[in-house]
Amino acid sequence: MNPKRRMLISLPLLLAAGRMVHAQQAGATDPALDIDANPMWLQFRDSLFAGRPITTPADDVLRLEAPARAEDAAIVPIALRAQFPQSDSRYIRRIYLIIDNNPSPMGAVFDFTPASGRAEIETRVRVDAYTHMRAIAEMNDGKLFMSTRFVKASGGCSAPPGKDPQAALATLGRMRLRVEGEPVLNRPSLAQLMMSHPNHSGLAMDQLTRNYTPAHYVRLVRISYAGEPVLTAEVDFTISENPNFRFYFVPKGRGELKAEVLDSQSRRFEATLPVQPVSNPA
Amino acid sequence: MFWLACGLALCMTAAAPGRASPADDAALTATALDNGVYAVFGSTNEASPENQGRIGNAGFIVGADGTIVINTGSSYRHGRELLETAERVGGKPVVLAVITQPLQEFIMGSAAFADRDIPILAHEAGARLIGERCENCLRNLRRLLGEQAMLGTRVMVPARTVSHSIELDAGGRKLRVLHFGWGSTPGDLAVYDSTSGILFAGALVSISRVPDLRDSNTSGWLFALHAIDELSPRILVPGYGPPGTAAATAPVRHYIERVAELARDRQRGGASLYETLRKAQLPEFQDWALYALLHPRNVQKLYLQFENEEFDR
Repeated sequence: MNPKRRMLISLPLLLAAGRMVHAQQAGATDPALDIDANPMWLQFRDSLFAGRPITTPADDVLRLEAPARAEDAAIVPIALRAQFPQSDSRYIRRIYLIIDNNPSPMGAVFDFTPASGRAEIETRVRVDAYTHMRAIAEMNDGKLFMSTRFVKASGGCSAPPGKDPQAALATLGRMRLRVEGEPVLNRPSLAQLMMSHPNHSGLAMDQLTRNYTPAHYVRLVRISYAGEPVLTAEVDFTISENPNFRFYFVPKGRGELKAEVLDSQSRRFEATLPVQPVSNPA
Repeated sequence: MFWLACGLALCMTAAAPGRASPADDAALTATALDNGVYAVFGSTNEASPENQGRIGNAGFIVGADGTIVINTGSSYRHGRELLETAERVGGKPVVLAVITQPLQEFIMGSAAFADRDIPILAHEAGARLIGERCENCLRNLRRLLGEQAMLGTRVMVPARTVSHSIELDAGGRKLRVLHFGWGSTPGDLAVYDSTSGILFAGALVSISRVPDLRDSNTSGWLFALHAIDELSPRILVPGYGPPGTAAATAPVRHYIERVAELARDRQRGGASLYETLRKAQLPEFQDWALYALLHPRNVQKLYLQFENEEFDR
């Protein structure tokens, strides 16, 4: 909390409520848009990090990258990037992603290990309203660092003609796992997991039938290399349809990159990719 | 009422805003193209309180005993003004409205036509999309433009639909209502008046404005542009921008090909969506209207489309 970045709004009603508003949103009196007073954030802060200091801004530890204005509120690409490599002595063990004004604000928790190489994730999320987005890194020593971005996204003029639901069902669960570029021995290598899955939130009404499409979403992604965990993501429908994750792993010899996915209907999916790292970069 | 019956070039300079007297400030400027065919040009920007959401072009064709309106405008009030303008200028009752695309700027005035029992014609896929999504658009427009601007506006699902190209005799004038397949939207229609050689291309063609690929099938769109070339209209009224000729299809085609190439190369080359959007510029189109808004959206839409295709393999 930085008092210099806040100001007191002089409206009597708000004054009576003792409400503070972020100076950068002068005129906006909505606590939902207040980076320090968003009620959902305060709840998460108290329940998850009770009493622990959170250093922010923390762009030298973790950068949260997101477009200021989303092209499509249903698919907002974001990146979480640690600013140092993972090592046994110093590594990020967890990143929480919180989107204040989403129906499920804490939409993803990513667990990393030193074998991740880099605590870095690119994915796509749904953003329901103008909101602050937060990435909170928990270090192996328990210290907390938070980076934030403000994202302008909202419903817009509704859905384009979508994929035929039958066709979408036919490909549901198909995964593609690939390594971007040539994997190098003992170096962090970039990989991508793509999955065909509608990731229904259960909150969207079918405009034609006026029925709500039942919730059906990916809730756990576990990635390992040669049997060693690289990344575990606990997620929900915050993640856009066709979940996509880009992440790092360190190949310490030949092995199999493996992704296991569990969805909210307890369906399991698995993809593997044999990897043979080269000892010298090409 | 302010309108001009004049040659094309003259109209473009003479139809300056702000000439209407206060008494008829609601009147629309109808630009006479030729032989009883008129266009009403809207803004090429995005909907805003300043332009009252009046984006994109409408028009009307005056027959021997009736007038056909192309697109019904962006609100009830806009629709009624289009209707009144068409009747005052053409001197004939409006007998039919044709919707070129299921887009808010082309359909939100439909209730003004329905209140006069004027039939509204759309492609069946366009009518379906209007039913599926336009209530949502209307809600958003109310929020953006205000209740007053959208007063009386209701979403009307067109009752008359076609599934393919037809010849139409309406108001004593023979017109061709053309469907080239899923191009800019699944429900594209274009209206061709063979008497004058004028084509209302709707959103299939925009001039000096970035095409919106949100609802598009890009190969279908390129096919439609080819079909328009074959038709070779003398005057082409685009969905957005000033009137042109058949040559107006070339820049649209060029844009679609370039943006598709960019998105495909990035997706297949392993670039992330985030990185792709950060470096998605096509400077040759940056002077077009809505470049900053629509171009990144178009890149994202096509990137995800190419990504999706990987699941079908």
